[in-house]
Amino acid sequence: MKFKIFLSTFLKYGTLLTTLGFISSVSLQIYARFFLTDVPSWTEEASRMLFIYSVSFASGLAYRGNYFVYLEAFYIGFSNKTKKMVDLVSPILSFLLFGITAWYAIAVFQMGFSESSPSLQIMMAIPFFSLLILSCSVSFYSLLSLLKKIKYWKL
Amino acid sequence: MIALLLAVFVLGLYFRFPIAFSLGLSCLVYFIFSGSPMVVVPLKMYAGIDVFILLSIPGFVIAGNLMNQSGLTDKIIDFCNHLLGHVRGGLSFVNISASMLFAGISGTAISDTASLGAVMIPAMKKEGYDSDFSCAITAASSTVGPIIPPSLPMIIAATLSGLSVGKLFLAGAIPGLLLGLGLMLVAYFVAKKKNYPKHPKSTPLQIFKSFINTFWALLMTAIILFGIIGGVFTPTEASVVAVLYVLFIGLFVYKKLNLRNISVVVLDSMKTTASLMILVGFANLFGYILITEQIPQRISEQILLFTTNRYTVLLLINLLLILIGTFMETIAALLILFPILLKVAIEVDVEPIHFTVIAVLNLIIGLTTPPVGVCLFVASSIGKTPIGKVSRSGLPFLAVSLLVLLLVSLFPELSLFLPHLIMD
Repeated sequence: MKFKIFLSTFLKYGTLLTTLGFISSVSLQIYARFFLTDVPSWTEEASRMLFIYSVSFASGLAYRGNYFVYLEAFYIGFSNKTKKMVDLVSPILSFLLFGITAWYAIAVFQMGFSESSPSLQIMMAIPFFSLLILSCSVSFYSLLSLLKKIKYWKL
Repeated sequence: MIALLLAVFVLGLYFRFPIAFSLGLSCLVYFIFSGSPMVVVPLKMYAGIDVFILLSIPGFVIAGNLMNQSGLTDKIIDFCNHLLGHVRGGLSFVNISASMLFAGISGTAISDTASLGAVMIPAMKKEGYDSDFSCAITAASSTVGPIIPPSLPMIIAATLSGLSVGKLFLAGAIPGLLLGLGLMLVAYFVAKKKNYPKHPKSTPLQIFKSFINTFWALLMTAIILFGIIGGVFTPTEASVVAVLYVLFIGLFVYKKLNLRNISVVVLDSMKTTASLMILVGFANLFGYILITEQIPQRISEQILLFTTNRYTVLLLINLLLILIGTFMETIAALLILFPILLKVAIEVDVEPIHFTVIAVLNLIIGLTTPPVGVCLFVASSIGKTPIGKVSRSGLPFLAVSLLVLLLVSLFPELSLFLPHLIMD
């Protein structure tokens, strides 16, 4: 329970801070264009990285809040029993999809240690780590959703 | 292998797995069975999101939601009411014109249906409009939003094709206006036939006062548009300027924003953005597989073997896109189909900007096409009216939308006139 609260707080503040970060970075770019002699070359790269982090932090929360769009057209025609089965299978598949993605995101993260970003000259492992946050948080929330469905399972 | 990829994707959709996840799962299965290196999955996902112009999406979504939080929806409706409420069936016009103005703010049809519908449908029902008509017009009018700039589907299309966002925004303006005016015409005839009520005419002073109230919102749209078109800002910068502008007027002019509701809005907007970006990421992976397997070329060759007549090709594409748009959310459908169909369109000499407008128009019309158009569902659930009744009432609006689509498809100048006039 404590971990769940910690994770959602971490993701929430992570989302807010990185969003503030990319908005500030783009704002600096605009300010520099009009009021300084030169636009810092790193602003665009920093904005992109912060944006990807904000997406990663928000993804788990989006899954938990049911923000993803799906096709409702066929589902409404299913019987209640089929609907319950489908509702159970969906988090299993989500967990598998993002679990596997997380596994290979570790390899990408490790690859990032030997590469540097063009402007900021930081290790690419830092931006690649966002993929791990994204896939781990979505798979964690899909696992929670699955456990909840099993707990209240009744055909 | 491609059959497997498509089969898993379609099965995922059929069993109500999120569209983004269906794409991801089908790609994963493809990679497992083709023996391709799995590390490409996260890498391509990352590359799909790591695009500067995509930052404009959270910018516009945050700005739109902050505007909504500042009570702007009500102010826009109030302004339109003073302007058009005195015509027979005035609230129908208010509904459509508010959607056209709101377009500059929200950028997606489903959110327009939800935001405006929550205010307009109960108001129309209260004044004696039929519930099915109120729902149908709300769903139909919300499709005007995503074609009138600034439009999220146009930004996505620009990301996929490398076309200028400014030109795409301008290209959507005339078709959007035509669509809005067409819907108003239908609403007028229905209102006359059913003798729907009208409001007393507002005085010029009342109109002026409500204009002043809405002025700040309209100014935002102007700043975004002229900023991008005039080359002052890139689309991403324009979206951030919009956020800063809304924060300023929300805090100091409308005084409805505070730290608490700003953080709630930002968080909510970022969740929406995250769901879109995962879609973009997996669509990039999906697109990579299609290109590796030379699917766009093969489809293009097959269509061109069947016919090289430009209008027949456009007709086929229109039919396909409306069908897909009926089932699938606009941006998802655009991400999957646009790159493939653009290639076909270019082969028969259709201007890419013209084609983009056609594609977006098709997909948004699909949102109100019975029996499964998503906006119809949203409106019918807000108005607590059976979907069948709403669909029947929406048929005249659908007919006029199809007419506009036909005109836009046949006359490229409707889309290309403004971009050529202003930006070439």
